[in-house]
Amino acid sequence: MSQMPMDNYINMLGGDSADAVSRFYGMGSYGQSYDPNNPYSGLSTSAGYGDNGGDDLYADLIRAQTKDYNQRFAPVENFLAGQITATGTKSLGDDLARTRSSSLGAVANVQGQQNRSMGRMGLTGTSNIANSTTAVGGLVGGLNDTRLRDTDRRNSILSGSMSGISQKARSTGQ
Amino acid sequence: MGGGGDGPEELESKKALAEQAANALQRYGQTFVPLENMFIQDTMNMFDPNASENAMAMAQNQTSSMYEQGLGDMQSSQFNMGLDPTSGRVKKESSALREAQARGMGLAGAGAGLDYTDAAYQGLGNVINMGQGLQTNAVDGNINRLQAGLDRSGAQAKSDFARSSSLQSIAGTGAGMAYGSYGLGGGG
Repeated sequence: MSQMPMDNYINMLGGDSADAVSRFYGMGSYGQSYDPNNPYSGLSTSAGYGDNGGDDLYADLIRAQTKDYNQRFAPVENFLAGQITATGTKSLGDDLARTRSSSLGAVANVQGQQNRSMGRMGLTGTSNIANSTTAVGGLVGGLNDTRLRDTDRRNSILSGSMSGISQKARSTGQ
Repeated sequence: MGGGGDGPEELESKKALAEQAANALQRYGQTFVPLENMFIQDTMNMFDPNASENAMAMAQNQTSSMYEQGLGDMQSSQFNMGLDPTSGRVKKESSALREAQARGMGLAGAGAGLDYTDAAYQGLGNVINMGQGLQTNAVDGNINRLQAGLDRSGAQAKSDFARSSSLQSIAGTGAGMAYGSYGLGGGG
């Protein structure tokens, strides 16, 4: 015998009710699979004819939203919380490397330009920009600024101006 | 009164409201969840160590061009003044401006990298806001971040040019030169 009428009936129930009925009749779980690209596709849009159909449907909506939050957003919150260190964020290392490479790369670039410019006037080896106070000072200042920015970023994440992760996590469900 | 059951019968309007909410949630799932997922993925991609390369290179190039024009004008001015290109004054002035250019380019690139990292964290904050059902702030785009960095570079370039005596001589007054000749007055 075809199970189609039963499937149709379960589809009409939707959500947790459908899941309970499906399992009661040994048809396995219904709607347990989560589609991250459309987490609400299995949700019924009909409250049915029961005494508490509206209430049940509301409960299904809230459960579906909670599941969606746990699947898509909680991992992002965990990632952000995991980025925070005692002094800043885990991005500090990469930021310092980028600042260093930007400063040293710019020095090498400009040194080449200066050498070519001087070469056109018959002068060679007339400048050493890499060892100049300006270039070294720029590098050190840039690295210090990078550390300060990272500390600021950590404080912003914790205090709320950037995300206020802890305050929002605490308010969930209120 | 008619009707069975132990409690009062559920209002039809409550069922209708629940159905309306379910319908809205389904539409949200079909239309906006894929877009949200795209934003989440884009935000996570910003944490790739090489993701900010383009923004940094662009900031360096733009800053370099601010100095290139000044360097060219300085050389013309030196020739017009009859200065010997091998003289100490020419070499010193030229080196000083090149050093300032290197510092400006380096810091502009580094600043763009830091701004990019900040934007990645800001994006994460907005994803969390989405999850909490809160209204999100607009995220500054690449162009806005680049312009903010260039405004800072422009302000620094003004001060560097003001120190070049050859450039001051062609402008008449040092203070007004950078504003007038290089269009650097708008930023910083």
